[in-house]
Amino acid sequence: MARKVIGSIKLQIPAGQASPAPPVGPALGQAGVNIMDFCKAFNARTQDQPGMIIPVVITVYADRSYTFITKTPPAAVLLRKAAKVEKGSGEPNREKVGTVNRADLEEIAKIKMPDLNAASLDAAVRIIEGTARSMGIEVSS
Amino acid sequence: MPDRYRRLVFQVEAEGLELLSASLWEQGTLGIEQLDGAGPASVAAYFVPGVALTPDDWRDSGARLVATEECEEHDWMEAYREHARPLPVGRRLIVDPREPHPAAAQENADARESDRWTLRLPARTAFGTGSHPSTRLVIEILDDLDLEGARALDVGAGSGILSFATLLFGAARVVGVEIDLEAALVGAQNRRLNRLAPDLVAGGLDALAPASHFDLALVNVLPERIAAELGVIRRLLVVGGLAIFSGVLTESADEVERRLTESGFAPVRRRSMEEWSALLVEAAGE
Repeated sequence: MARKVIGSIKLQIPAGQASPAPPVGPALGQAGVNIMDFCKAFNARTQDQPGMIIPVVITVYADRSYTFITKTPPAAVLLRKAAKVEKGSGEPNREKVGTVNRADLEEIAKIKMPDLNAASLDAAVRIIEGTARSMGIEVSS
Repeated sequence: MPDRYRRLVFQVEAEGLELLSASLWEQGTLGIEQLDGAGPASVAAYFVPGVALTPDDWRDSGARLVATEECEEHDWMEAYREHARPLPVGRRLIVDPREPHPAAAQENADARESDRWTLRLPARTAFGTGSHPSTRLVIEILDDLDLEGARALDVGAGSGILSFATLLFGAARVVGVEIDLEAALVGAQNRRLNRLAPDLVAGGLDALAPASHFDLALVNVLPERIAAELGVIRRLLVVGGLAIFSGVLTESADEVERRLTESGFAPVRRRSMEEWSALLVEAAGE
């Protein structure tokens, strides 16, 4: 019998670092989910990606059980990291132009492949390149 | 963990969502929740108190800051406890994760209800309560072992559930070590609540006397977090002693077993539930 879904929770948390603190605690606590069970499962599944920001979608059922799926880190997060955009420089972000090279794009494309629906790595690189340009990040050859 | 947080809530159109996330992570957010709602997405980001962000930090995403709130650390497991029900674990235990009724203190854990012992482990945010497959697998393996008179070591004791179970199943002595101070404190509360007396130590394996020897080690800790201490655990066991390593994703069980073999353990058997596995191994001779 299909279980009745009562909610869907979308979070971004660092890989292997889920803890009962916010945002996990309040989001899952309100839904009556066993927070520590979730943290353990999330950390086990993501501990091989240290330093990555992982979007996760948690589906909560009427009996307070849950399932979750993890996604690849947001492309913008990976690009800004690769471009080493300075944090809090006081300048508007649109003027903070960074640069990434071809190898950066390939590396990001490989990470994003599972979510990109791209036919090949080349196609994935082109998608990431488009995202970079739209963010004002230059691509050096 | 800080005990206060600053929560910033933004509204942002779909195309600006990733850029907003990227900006918030650069500014040091602890985590982001995307809230449900029609129209533009609402995004809540948590920070440590006192963080100073300016609109320039998120301008290129087109996001609009709609609320800044201060919130306090809270007992997030409250709602879970209200809905939770006692849960049979293995063949001989029932774990009760609810807030203890005052009368519960009058009862004794070894007063068996029906054919099972009841362990009272009120769900708190510092650790699990036995509902997780990794804990259930250890208890199921313990169900099949003869623990009469055994000296057992519980590594990462948390709520104390495995220490308590091992004592109820006949062990003569159980030592639990726990590096998380908050978990160690609640483990001590559970000890009183259940009137069972394992030695629960707030600290790591190095807190044990080097000459300690055990017949059984229970290790319900993610493999990466315990990898450096496998040799220490092996040396704390007598030759022929058993160890149960749980918290292992089934897809990485072969790899974990290989590491255990290199550290002086011989595989005995495995048990799996959902995506998790537990490995029963024996301490091999030097």
